[in-house]
Amino acid sequence: MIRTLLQRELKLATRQLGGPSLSLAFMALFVLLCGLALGGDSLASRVDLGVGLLWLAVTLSTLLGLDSLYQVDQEKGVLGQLYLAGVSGGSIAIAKMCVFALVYILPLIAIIPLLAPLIGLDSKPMLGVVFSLLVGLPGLAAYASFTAALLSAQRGNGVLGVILTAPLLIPLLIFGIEAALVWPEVGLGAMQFRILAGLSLIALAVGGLGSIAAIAANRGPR
Amino acid sequence: MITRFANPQRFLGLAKWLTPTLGILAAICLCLGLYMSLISSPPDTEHGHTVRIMYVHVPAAWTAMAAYTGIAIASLISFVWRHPLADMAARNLALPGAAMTALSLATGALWGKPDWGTYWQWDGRMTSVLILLFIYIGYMAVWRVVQDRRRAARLAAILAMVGWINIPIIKFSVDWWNSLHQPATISSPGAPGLAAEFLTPLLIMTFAYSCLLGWLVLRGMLAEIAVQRAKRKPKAATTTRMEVMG
Repeated sequence: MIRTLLQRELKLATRQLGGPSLSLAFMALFVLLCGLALGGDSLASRVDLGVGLLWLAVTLSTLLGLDSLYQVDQEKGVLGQLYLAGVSGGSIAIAKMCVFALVYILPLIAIIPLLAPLIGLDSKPMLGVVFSLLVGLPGLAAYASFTAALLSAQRGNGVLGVILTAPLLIPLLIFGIEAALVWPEVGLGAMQFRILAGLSLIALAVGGLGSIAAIAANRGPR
Repeated sequence: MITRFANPQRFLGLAKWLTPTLGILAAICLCLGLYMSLISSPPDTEHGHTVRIMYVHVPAAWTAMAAYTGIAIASLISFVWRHPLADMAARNLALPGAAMTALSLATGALWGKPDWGTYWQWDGRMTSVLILLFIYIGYMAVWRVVQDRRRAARLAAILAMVGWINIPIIKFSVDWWNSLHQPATISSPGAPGLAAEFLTPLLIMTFAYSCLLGWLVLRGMLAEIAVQRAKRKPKAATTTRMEVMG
């Protein structure tokens, strides 16, 4: 069942690439604006600022995609039909999270090598950012899915989604940036990477269960 | 015990005497505590008169955290047993809790200026309290945005529980981040051995704040029950009442 769901989600997501490409454009624009506002040279002279900026850019761009995650299926009654067909909320949440991570977040991570030269980030810290983001990816997707499921029956609440998700993402943000900073010296075995992986798994557990509960709560008339 | 107090009639009976009691206790203790803390207690040797901010600040922070824990517990009860009273309690805890959080942040900033020379420091405790304020805001926004009351209660309960699990994690990561970036330069006031002349007013103020919180929550719940009952009444009731009044 979950395979069918995954295929359906993937097919739908790859046919509507408007959302992910807008998020990509937003991320590039955000980095550009930060370079202009904070001064490109001062960013280039400090590695930690560049690393933090990229993490922030990916997090914010991810939050932009929240609206599309559950809303359409909720409005068209797809979630209700799946429930009637006996599909568990867990399968739906897992399929949504996987596809969101693949179609929304991975491209954001993939363009980091293109954006890093803009803020003068060398290849080593840049790889650190990429690896720490990959480790934090499940957590990002889980909390994104959680708030998206929570607000799926509400139209036009993109800002509220950001406000609800951002506090939950703070631990990931902190340890993600720290992990990226220690990567050039210590590598993947660093304590920061392990904590980040742990946080990501906690997020997966909490956000996954939360998503299932939220899907169930939004079921039914109105 | 939960089912015992879930009966609205029994709750009303309890609230009838508990609400005024808490209100009067809060008023008395606030007067007494404010007199003791602002006038009769001695200034601190290290902090001088600024130590008096502590009596307003510390209880506010404690009640803010207690209110969120209350929301989380009430949310769990509402999520598992679906008692409408638990929803009501959770919703009415949110605004006082957020106000206490804001108060503790404001008084903390005012205390920080004379003692640390700055209104704000990226200290672990302060940062996590500020994050707590945003969690409160998000929680209240969900209640406001979702139209259907029963669904709003479910969603807000889920959000409150997820937020509650995250608060210790956030606190830990902010502490860790802070200790990494800034050596702890702050001398924490009111460390282990707090003398009795400081402790007594502090405890009285904490008791007063707790009573105040309880009073506000019960008042909010009673008002909500009254509004619901008024809605349920048949329309004709208004005309008969006007006749009686006329």
